[in-house]
Amino acid sequence: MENKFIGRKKGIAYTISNIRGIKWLLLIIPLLFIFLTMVISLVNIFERSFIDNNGFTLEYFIKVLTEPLYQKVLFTTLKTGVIVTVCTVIISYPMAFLSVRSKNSIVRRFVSGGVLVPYWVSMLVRIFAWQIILAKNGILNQVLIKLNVIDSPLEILYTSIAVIISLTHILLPQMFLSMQSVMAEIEPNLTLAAEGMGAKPVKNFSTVFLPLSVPGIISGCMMVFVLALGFYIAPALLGGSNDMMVSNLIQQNMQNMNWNIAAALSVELFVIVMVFIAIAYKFVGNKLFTR
Amino acid sequence: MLTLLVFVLLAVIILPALIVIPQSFTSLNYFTYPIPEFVMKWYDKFWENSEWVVGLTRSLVIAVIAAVIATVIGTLAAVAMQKLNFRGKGLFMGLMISPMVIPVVIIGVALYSTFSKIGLTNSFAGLVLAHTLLAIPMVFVTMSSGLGGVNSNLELAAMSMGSTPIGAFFKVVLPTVKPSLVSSILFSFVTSLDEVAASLFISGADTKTLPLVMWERLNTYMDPTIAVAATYLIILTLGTYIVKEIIDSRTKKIY
Repeated sequence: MENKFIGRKKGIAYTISNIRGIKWLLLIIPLLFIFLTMVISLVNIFERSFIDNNGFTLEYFIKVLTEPLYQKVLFTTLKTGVIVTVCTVIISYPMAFLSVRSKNSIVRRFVSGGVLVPYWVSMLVRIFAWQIILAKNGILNQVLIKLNVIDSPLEILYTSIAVIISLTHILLPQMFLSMQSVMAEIEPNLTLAAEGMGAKPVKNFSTVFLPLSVPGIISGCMMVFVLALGFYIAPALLGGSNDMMVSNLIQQNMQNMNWNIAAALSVELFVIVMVFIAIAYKFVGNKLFTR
Repeated sequence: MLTLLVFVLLAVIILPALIVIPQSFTSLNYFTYPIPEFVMKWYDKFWENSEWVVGLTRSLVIAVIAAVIATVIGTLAAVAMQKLNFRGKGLFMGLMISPMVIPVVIIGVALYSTFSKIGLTNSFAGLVLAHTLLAIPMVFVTMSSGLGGVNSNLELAAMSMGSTPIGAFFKVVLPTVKPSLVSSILFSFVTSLDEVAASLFISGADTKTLPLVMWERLNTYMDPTIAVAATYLIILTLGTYIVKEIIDSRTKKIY
């Protein structure tokens, strides 16, 4: 045994390990990659928001911030983000609760596995699926008419409702995971103690479990809200012309070669996202990003 | 009561994702339920069309390469966070995670602006770089939590017996975080396979991946070959998930 280790000392690993400062490559390689691809590109595009062929100008920022069209799109984006966040909270909470507190281990596994299934089905496929479901002669309308709930088909596809439904569906797992990771750490004895001291289930839940699960709700909300702001495939395929989000506007301006406007909009969206991330980070710290 | 509610919710969540599969067997040339007759003709059409086949192959090759590079870079970063003492750790972590939180459109536009200057748009390498960038945060997060669970005494023991730090890492640390490593590769594989938003900006006529071909068709003329492509994507991504779950449950049994 001993000889084997001594023999190895002369191997490549030994030589490499002895180069001074070699360990800093751990830091330098990832940094270099991120800088060369993302950071430089971001700086590049942000520069274009205030520098055009004639030099420094605030023209584009003023335009983006004051023109009614841009204001309206920003408002739609924020509104969609809020609605989607609320929807995911309402749907995820009972599921996350059951996934950590159900007495049946099969239920626990089934719920946590099931919620993640859509997460692993391509996003584009899910958006496409909603096109089929929500279309005028789609499945939803057919079912509702058969059940005599409605007489004439609902117009859902190409409205903001379709966008909200699909974004809720897409971002649900994110909310679920944030909530679940916090709920899993709530000490089961706390609720047992409350029960032992005579708290009714509802009171027990609202005074013990719910307050302790708040950090999970906050970090989930922040992540979902921020991610919802940046979507553009779903609004493009499921929304109408009135449901454009900032991302769609950026893409449109890129296509028309309005580089400076696209850049100014990107800065706007970037700043909003970063502000919310910073707030969330203050609340929950590193937990924000763990899965 | 609650269980019932949750199971109804689960059905509502899972079914929409899978509803496209039966549509790929339809005998009609548009999407509707009920399906009058189940046929394979759209599958034949898919394989006859080189755009789809090349797109699928291209997607797979890019996803494999991007997954490997992203896993290496993300792991290096996670190890750096754990082993090295340096200023600005928070900033470093933020940078590694940022591709996940910055809206993809912004990354797409930004990459286009640099890639177009150095001829990387409409290129294979450009797509690999973009997909790698977007997958790094997944690897970083997964590996960080994996490495956090390794008992550093094992590594010290190996080194006290003459192993080099690098040797100890490969022989002691890496085998213990194997599940995280596999997860990282699979996560990044799926991230790349599914990527549309950023690829849309930097790809061109010669570099369409499968989701990009789908996106184009969804915007122009829809026919059930889209459902076939969607079915293949589902099989690939969901298959990856199932493989991951199997590996996870096996390792749990061992430890």
